[in-house]
Amino acid sequence: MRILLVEDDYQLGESLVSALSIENYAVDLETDGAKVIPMLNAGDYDMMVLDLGLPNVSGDEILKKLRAADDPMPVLVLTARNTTADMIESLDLGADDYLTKPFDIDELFARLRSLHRRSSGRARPVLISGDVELEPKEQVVTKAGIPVTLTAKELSVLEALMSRAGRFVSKSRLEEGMYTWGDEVESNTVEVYISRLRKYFGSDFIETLRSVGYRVKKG
Amino acid sequence: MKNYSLKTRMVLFGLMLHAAIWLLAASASSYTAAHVIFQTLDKDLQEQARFVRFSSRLFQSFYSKFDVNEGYDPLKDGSAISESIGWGNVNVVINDTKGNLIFRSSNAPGFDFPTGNGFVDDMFIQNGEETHWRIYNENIDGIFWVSVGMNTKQAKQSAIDFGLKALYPMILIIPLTIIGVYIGSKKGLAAINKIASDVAHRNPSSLVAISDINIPEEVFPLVKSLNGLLVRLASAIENEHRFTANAAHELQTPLAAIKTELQLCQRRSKTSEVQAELDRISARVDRAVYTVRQLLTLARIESEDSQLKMAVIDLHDVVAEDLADLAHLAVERQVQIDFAEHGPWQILGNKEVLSILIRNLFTNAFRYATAGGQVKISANVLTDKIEFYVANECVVMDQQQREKLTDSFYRLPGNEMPGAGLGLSIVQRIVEVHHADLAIQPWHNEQGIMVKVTFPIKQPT
Repeated sequence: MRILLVEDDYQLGESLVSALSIENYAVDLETDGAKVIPMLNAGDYDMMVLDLGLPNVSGDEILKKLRAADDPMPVLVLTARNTTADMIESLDLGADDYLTKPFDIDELFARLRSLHRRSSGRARPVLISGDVELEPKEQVVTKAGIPVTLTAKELSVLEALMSRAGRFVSKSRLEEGMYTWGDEVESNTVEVYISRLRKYFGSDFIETLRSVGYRVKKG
Repeated sequence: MKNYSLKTRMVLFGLMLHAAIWLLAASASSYTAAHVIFQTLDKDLQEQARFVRFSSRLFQSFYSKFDVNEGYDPLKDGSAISESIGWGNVNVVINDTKGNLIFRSSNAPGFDFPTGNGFVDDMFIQNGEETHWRIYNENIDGIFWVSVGMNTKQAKQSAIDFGLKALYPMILIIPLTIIGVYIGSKKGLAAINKIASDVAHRNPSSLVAISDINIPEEVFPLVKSLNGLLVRLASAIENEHRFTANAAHELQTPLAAIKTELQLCQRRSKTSEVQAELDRISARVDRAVYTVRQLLTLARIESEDSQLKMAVIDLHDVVAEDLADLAHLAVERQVQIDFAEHGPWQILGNKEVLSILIRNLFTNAFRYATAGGQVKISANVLTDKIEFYVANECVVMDQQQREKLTDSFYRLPGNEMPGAGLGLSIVQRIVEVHHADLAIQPWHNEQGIMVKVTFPIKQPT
């Protein structure tokens, strides 16, 4: 796996190169924004990690040029700007994913792995909580490796909980995911589905925090 | 000078000016009236004297031509003379050239013997009272002196009355002047008042120039210099925000580098001592990262607060979502959450920024609540405001410590928790942007604190 790392801060660049090397990536470090497009054209890279605040040609510019030329290169953006607006802007310009500085290298590795999976056309990673696994794209759920059949609404509640494993999800957020427009909402519906899921996966699979929400264990 | 309003000053000044003008006018008219009255008086006195001269000559020719009324001495007949001359207040004294009194009308004091023709002013005591007299003396044909006198008291009184009459219009003019000056100054000062209220009703962060449309010429320099000040102020504040944002921003990259190196070390380290050491460094770095993020947030709110889009939102929904998102922090420390599930709490606000406020309050409450203690999250919905509060049991704080909580970088002594002491400064700024109030008060008999944010409710217009 060859990665082009574009980062104008040489120290951070060096640190990242050694970190990525541990994960067996072959990394080229480039600090000058003007040289990025020629390098991409010349080299055979699988992915690019791009810092936005670059001298000469900004990261935004590089993204624009890249996508204007229909280059499908998977790009993970690194930036010190951390507002929702900045994030949306970068994603709209054609970034595939996004990390704000300072970041956790484990998270960087995880995101690079998922970026690679997606770019090679494979499905998104499986959501895991205890012995329950959910594969979102195919909507397949297994408990201890045995498939469990769920209705669409049960699935949506389970997915909402598992995609935020470790954190509580409010009742209203679970309701939002369950209903398409025009469906009638009954106030105790969420509780009904939670108890059904508990029947399938065990009573302590879902934790309740009164008047706050529900959660499943992380990992 | 006391701090009188311009209006009061103008009214007072107008009044003084008018009073001065009118007093001057009254004195002038009194003076003129007196002058005219005394001239008339002098003419009258001369007239009387002329009349005496005329009648004496007439009588002489009568007596020499006709022998009438044998034995009749007109001089002995005071009433005859009084009838023929002298109006009520004109008095006549006639002396022969040797100074023997020939005739004196009843009200006349004994005038001094004349020293020559012409006018004399004199003073006499009559009935124990000072009386001033104007006397005209004339020698008639070298035979006798006629002295015609008049008490000037009345004449003076007339002159004063005349002057006072000139003052009468003032009684009418003064209120008119006050009203006129008041209305005029009010109109003239309306522009200044408008500017003052424009400045007074701004939110603290609005530094937009004051409009110079329709302002009087005199006020223009004031507005111009105020606007100049606002521009300088805005750019100073802007610079400060930019500096904070840039400094925080510039810190992100080195921190990212340190964090990356640290994590690499953690992966490579074999011994538990080194691991523990690295964990401690890592905790410190995380705190620096957190501080920088909070600083960036603060700088962002500072620079955006004038352009924040406000909408009617249900605060209860925002609170419920943020609570779900952070509740694991409470569960980790066995903190009991008591959340009021009833909504809606409708206020005018910016969802994204309010979420930062709520999260800061929750993070503090869950972090500093006594382990196993309680955190209460609720709101009092009143007619004109909503009091949203987060209260938690914690270490006992005195009032001085509670007051310092909103200071930037203030942390309670002995606080080992991660954090920068910026959370409540950020909350304070967001509260200001929403025209709300922040209060930190003791809770549960001093066994905890309550942070209360009071949002005004926009009455539907």
